[in-house]
Amino acid sequence: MRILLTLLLALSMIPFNSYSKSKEPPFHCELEMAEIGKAGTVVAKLWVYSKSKKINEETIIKNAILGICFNGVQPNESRRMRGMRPLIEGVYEDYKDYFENFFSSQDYQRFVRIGLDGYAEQGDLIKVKKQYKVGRIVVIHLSDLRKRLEDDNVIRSLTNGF
Amino acid sequence: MVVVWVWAIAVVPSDYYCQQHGYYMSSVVDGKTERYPDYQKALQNDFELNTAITVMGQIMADRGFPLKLLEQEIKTINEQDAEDEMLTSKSGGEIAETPYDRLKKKAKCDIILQLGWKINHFGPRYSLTFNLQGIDAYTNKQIVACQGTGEPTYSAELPILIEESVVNNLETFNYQLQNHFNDMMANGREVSVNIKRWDNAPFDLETEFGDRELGEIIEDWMADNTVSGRFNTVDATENMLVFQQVRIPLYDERGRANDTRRWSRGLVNMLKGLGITSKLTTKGLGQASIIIGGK
Repeated sequence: MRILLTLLLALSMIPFNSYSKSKEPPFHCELEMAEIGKAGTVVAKLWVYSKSKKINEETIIKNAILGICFNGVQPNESRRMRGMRPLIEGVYEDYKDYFENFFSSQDYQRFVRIGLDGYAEQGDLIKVKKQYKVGRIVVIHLSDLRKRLEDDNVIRSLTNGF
Repeated sequence: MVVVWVWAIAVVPSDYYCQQHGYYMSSVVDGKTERYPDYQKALQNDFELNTAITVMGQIMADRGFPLKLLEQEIKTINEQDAEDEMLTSKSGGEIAETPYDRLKKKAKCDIILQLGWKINHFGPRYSLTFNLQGIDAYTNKQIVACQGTGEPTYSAELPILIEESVVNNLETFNYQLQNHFNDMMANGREVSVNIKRWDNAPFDLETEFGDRELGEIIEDWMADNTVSGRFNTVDATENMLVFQQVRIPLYDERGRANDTRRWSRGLVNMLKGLGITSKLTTKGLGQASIIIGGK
């Protein structure tokens, strides 16, 4: 009995929250073309996988940036709007330090604008197993984001090497 | 000192587009009527074409690649044409060049983008099929291409559809362009070189200089001066050598940007060291001919 109590006490000391956080992916989203925007922007439907029905603005923006960097953008349903390849060839883990620093300043918010003032359209909330798939329209300022990544030597510019 | 290579990209309407819209000039060559695109007429009469070029220019400038303005290049070419009209060859022939050839040669464009589109109608709706090809001016090979059909609409104006098509396709296009540049940086620029011989030269390519035939000496020089020794000898006789898929470095040993002529000059100088006089000519940007045995 005493051993059982000691074991239970020891188990309660383990920080489950931090364990689950370390397993939680930094982003889990999909981007799909929604409209053809102005030159230098991408208007896309961002689907964020979340345990909660509601997601905050910060999560949307971070997922949009990481999504376009590592997942790219899928074409729309009719495939008449071309998708886009990921900006960065590689996996998030290789650039983890960079993006932790990137998101530590508030500057990252200027690269994404949430469309429709964050309003959720019908069909923007889908239950997927134990998670929710939450959709929002986002406008990603692709030119500015690309320029920032080129200046930080994360990606090469077209003129790099010449 | 390293000189940065400045890429020159020009956008022209495609041959199909020019033919469909009547922007062409005709000439009779050997009794046959030939049609060539008239870029100046297209630019002066086609507002949508100017819109497309402007949008492309904006996007490419954002990527660090301002486009060569076709209109300005044509004006420069027309001024130079007046000088060319005074030139004739020794046999009385004149320079024969199409507007496309003149643009490549005189505007010194590395890449020429051929742009065109077509309106599709079905009932009250219409859509736009867009086509963009990037041609390497040195090899005339297609290096990038994209095409697609936009969403059908009832009411959008044509300039809006064109702008959307350009924006929709240019990311894919730039991705392919990046791959092409990566290949060039790693493997050099592709050109072709022809070695010929004047018929009154006292030697040919099988004549021995030292203990090796002249053709072999030239091939050894090619192997030493191309990137990773990459070239193909497609034809070899006592009177000529034809090298294709020759990969020349983008910069010479002094850090200057290399082109076909400058690079081929190295071979001419090597032959001079053997006591062989030769004449170097170029056709377009990517083909050099060296005629050995005189000037």
